[in-house]
Amino acid sequence: MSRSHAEVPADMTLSVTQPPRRSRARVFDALLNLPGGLITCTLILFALGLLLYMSLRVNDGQIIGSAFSLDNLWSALTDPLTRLVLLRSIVLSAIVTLATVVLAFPVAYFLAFRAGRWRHLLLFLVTLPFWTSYLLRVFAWKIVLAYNGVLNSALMQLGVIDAPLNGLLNTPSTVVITLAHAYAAFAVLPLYICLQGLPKNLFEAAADLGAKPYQGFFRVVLPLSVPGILSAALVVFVPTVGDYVTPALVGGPNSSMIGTLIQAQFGKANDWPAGAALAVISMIAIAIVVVAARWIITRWSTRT
Amino acid sequence: MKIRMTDSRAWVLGLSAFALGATLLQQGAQAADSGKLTYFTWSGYELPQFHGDFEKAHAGQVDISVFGDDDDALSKARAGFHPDLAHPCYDKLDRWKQAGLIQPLDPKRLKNWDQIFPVLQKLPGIVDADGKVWMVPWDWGNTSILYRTDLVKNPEATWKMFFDPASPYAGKMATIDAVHDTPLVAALLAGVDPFKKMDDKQLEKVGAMLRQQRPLMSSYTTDMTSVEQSLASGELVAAMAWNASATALKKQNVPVAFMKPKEGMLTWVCGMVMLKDAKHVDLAYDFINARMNPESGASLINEYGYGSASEAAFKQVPAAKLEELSLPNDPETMLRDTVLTKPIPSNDELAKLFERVKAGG
Amino acid sequence: MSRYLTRHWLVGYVAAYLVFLYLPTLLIPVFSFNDSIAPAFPLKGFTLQWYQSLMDDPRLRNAALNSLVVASTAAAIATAAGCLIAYADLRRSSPLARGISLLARLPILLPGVVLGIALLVGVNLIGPGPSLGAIVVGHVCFCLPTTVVVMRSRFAVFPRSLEDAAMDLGADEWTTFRRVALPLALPGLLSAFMLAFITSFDEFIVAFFLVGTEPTLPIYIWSQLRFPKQLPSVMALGTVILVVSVILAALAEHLRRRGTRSSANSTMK
Repeated sequence: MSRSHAEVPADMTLSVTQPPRRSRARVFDALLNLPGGLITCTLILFALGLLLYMSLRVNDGQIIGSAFSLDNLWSALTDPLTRLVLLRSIVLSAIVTLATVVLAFPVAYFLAFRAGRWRHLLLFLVTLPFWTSYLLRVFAWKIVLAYNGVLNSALMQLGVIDAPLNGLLNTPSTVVITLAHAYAAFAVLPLYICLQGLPKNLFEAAADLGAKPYQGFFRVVLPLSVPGILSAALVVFVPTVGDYVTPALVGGPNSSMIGTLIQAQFGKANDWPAGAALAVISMIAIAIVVVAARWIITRWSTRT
Repeated sequence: MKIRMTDSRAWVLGLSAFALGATLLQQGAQAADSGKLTYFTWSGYELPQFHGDFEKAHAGQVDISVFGDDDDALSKARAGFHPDLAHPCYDKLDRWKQAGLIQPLDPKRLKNWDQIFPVLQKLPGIVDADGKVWMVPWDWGNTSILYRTDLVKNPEATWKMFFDPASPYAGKMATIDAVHDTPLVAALLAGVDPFKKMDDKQLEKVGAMLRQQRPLMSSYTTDMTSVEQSLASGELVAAMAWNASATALKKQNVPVAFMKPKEGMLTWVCGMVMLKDAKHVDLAYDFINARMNPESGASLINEYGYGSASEAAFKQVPAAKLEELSLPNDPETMLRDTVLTKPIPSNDELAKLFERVKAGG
Repeated sequence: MSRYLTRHWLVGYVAAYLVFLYLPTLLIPVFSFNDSIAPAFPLKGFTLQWYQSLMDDPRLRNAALNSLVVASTAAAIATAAGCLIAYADLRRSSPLARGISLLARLPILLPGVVLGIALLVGVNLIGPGPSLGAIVVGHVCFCLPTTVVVMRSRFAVFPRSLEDAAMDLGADEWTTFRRVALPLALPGLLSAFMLAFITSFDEFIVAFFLVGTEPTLPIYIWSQLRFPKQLPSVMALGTVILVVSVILAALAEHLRRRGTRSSANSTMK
């Protein structure tokens, strides 16, 4: 195909090759969209549809319930418990996201710009802990933070405290630490591939134009790394908001999140429509938060 | 650059081809064996020693699916998972019936039905008016407060320990995160009968009791692994636990005692049910009969320290061992002093209330 | 001088970060050799019994293998699909592509229990029912948002000018995609695959609904929490997984180095 292009003079390509080129492009586009379209239109739309449908039904023990009703959605929306738990989940996840992304950024920066031939080794070292099962890592944190755990033993050995601290486990802070640890790779990798894709001579160019090193970073590199920051924040924030496993294992009663509530509706309370309604409300709330945050960050980065 | 790209791409493609192939092969292998019995049970109960005779008669003809929580199991069954047999607990039996998921069994085909303790056979709902059996009891156990005898000096034997606002052990106690445990005890202490339908006022009383408990608890959990370790280390001084945990900790020389509260310990019973659209009914009966063998029950007692529903199984375990496990060999007498976890009519409302209180609302 | 200090500071920070990552992780191998059921200090002596019980009991091993197969397959499919979706969205924007891209990112907002139930209903309607294949399908849906987000940010960083130049020079869309866009996107592809793999390997809520009779590793561990006796064996398994990953990665690195060396040699000739 490319050979025939080379043979035809440039000024004639438009008129001679446009129709076949356009139809080839259409075939390409169709094939490109096919796998994604297949998965999304069958499975994802079905899941979303079922969720919405369930939330509008009355609970009678059947999967799909009986009769349509807005009661579930209305009570989920107006219940003060929903607001309390959603707010707590969003705030906790926001703290986790902030901590994870901020802590991960220097590491990603180092990997992209300074690591040189150690890059692959370091990338491997950063991702290796995540090949063990997540549940094992949570248990490992329990060992570290337990009453007779590593941290308490170390602090007592150093003489910092006389008796073991009892408040390390089963608090919201535990959840933050555990989640920040569990999602570290999810922040480092997207940040890294974004920074790594930037042209290498940015700093030189900025320096040539008279910027000091820190100015080069804050006014050139940082704004350009915003897509990476946003994608890292997204893949950390959204899953942690809905997580109920970590709070169940290390969180204690003050860390009950929206995922816990939804799971309880489906399991313990045997009320699928109520659970579906709660899930719909929380989905919308989270989506609003994500869109708002993205808008704010993008506006801030284009202003600087 | 070109070769490196090909290397990595080759790796990714190779790995995914291998993975795809392996999955498909496994799927093919499974599809070819669809004549197998499917049994849905608690994790830990799938060991072949519990159905030894079935293995001898029909080797490899059973596929076992496990769950960690029978609420999750019900959700999965409602969503369309169709095993032949399942192993929920007695207090959830009504839910399975109401969801239209199970069918009754013919007692004439149950070989060792008579070896089951009569008190368990006569539990309401187990056998219906026609004499058909809805659930074959298989195991039972006790739930109570497990406490450190050296850290809690001579406590009064009552569940109120977990609800006392002036308790010196606030933040050093844990309770089980299940509706048929913690809210049930709260209802008993609030003077509400948990085994009758509750009206709003009664629910409020239970809620008040649960809210009174909340500041005292360091966690609501079903993770017995961590509970045992916390008791061993002293992080917790008391926790709601099952009798098997008591035995395990005593074996590790941790000074603990399993309380006998005056309101009564909680006794749970679990058993096997047959799903309505079971495809391998004959195999299912053989399987149930194999599990109802005395050897199987004795194995349960020795392995996990829980009670078997089979009287004959108890006769196979020496009295010294039972003493060590602090397992009474006569559930009839025991049930006079304990609270049997029967179906709770207001289970769903209690569950929502419990979640609300736990979340701080 | 200030550049030296900056470099020094950054290296120290990365080292501290690695300590934070590894402190809990390294406890797993430590306690897999500890002669006690409870993983707590002080250590009670060296033993191999947990590895022995790992070898004797096939359930844990099989669960780990199942997880491995499911995660590799789901991650591969999700990465490939995510790449195509992101490319279509950012380079070939049509309303269809943008819509698919948006839909593909929505499952991240769904609680696992909802996705699990919906997919179980789905696979029962279609026919196969719960099985490892069903889990693969579920995990593809679950991991797709991550891969799409990662690939989108990767394509967003690279200007279109490279691909436009290729098209101007006469390449068609397929060639441009294959020989210009994909190589540039490669680090993104690997990262997306790795993240999708980790996500799938750790996921057990959707998996619980879709599992037949072959559990995946996290399902097995989660359901075993009521049985404290199992914890050290699970830690032994975790250690085995760590060691195997190190070996595999070292092997891959060795092959990669050989690949670049031989290409360097061939170009020198």
